[in-house]
Amino acid sequence: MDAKIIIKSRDVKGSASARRLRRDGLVPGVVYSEGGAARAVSLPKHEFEQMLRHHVSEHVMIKIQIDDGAEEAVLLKEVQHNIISGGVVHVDMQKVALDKKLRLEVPVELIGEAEGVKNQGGVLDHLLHHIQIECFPADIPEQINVDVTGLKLGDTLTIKDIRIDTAKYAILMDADVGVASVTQPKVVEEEPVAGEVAAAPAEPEVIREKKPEEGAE
Amino acid sequence: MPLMPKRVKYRKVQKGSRGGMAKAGTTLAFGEYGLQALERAWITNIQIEACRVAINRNLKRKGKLWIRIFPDKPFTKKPLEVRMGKGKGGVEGWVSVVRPGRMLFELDGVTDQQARIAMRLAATKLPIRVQFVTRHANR
Repeated sequence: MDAKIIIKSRDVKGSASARRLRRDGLVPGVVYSEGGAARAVSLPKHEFEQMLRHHVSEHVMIKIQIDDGAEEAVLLKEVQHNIISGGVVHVDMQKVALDKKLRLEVPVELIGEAEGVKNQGGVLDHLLHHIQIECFPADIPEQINVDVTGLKLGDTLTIKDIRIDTAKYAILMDADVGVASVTQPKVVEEEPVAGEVAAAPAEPEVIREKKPEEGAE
Repeated sequence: MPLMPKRVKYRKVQKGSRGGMAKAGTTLAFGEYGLQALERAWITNIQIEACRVAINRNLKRKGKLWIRIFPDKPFTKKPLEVRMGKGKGGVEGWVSVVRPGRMLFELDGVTDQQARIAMRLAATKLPIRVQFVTRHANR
């Protein structure tokens, strides 16, 4: 866990005040707790983004201190980003019991160069980027590394092939879901001849509710 | 052959709105690298095809490309030197309505540098500003 982030509780709610907060270099957020009321807070944006930069996953445990309260560990439940700049817009945090298992998504990282890519001219297709697991808060992994060096052309690596410490983690997905595969690259199409380009493209078919009756006036 | 729908409900449609930001299709869903729109435009099927050809020619047989937009909107045009009125013109082409934030193309199975070069070539075929994005931007 990283250095703690000191956050402030906020009374103001709504989009206008959230915008004002963001203008002042803060990020609005919420801290949820099981059985308790949700608490609206604001975080220092720069500090939070710096902390996030050191993690691969956005579902990690962090230490926070709300106002002058005690230090507590929370799980980052959801981090919302601006779709263009990528800057943090809103943060959802959840207080968790350390003795209770959690369900969360962690990123899947493919390690090594597949044999099918190295020697057989295939393309490695990363099919599953996140995987759902269950574990204790103390065991939350940054990412799950999957070794793909043995994958040959046409092979698919599935969830059941992932080597993971089953005592700590339980994968909550179907064992047959594909994680990565090596496929034959698509052949680049021939460039159309000049005459073909000139030909007018066909019009798409228009779906009609009723076909016009034959012989209708 | 440029992209266009196989079947449509109506032959011609109204102009519609291009306002706001992209609501869906704003994140990388398939590949490691992507090209994201920063402006709004009607991207024609010919422009999409030009981008596809530019990327594939640059990467030769390497990598995998996903086209995240589809030109499902017909646009019409009246013939030259025709007076106004007498109905809507004929269908001239097909466009995809692109709003800022929309992911246009995604690439995988190539190095960062190869993807950057291919996406830069594709960007020159588009009428809008775009940005190159990677899945591991945080690292």
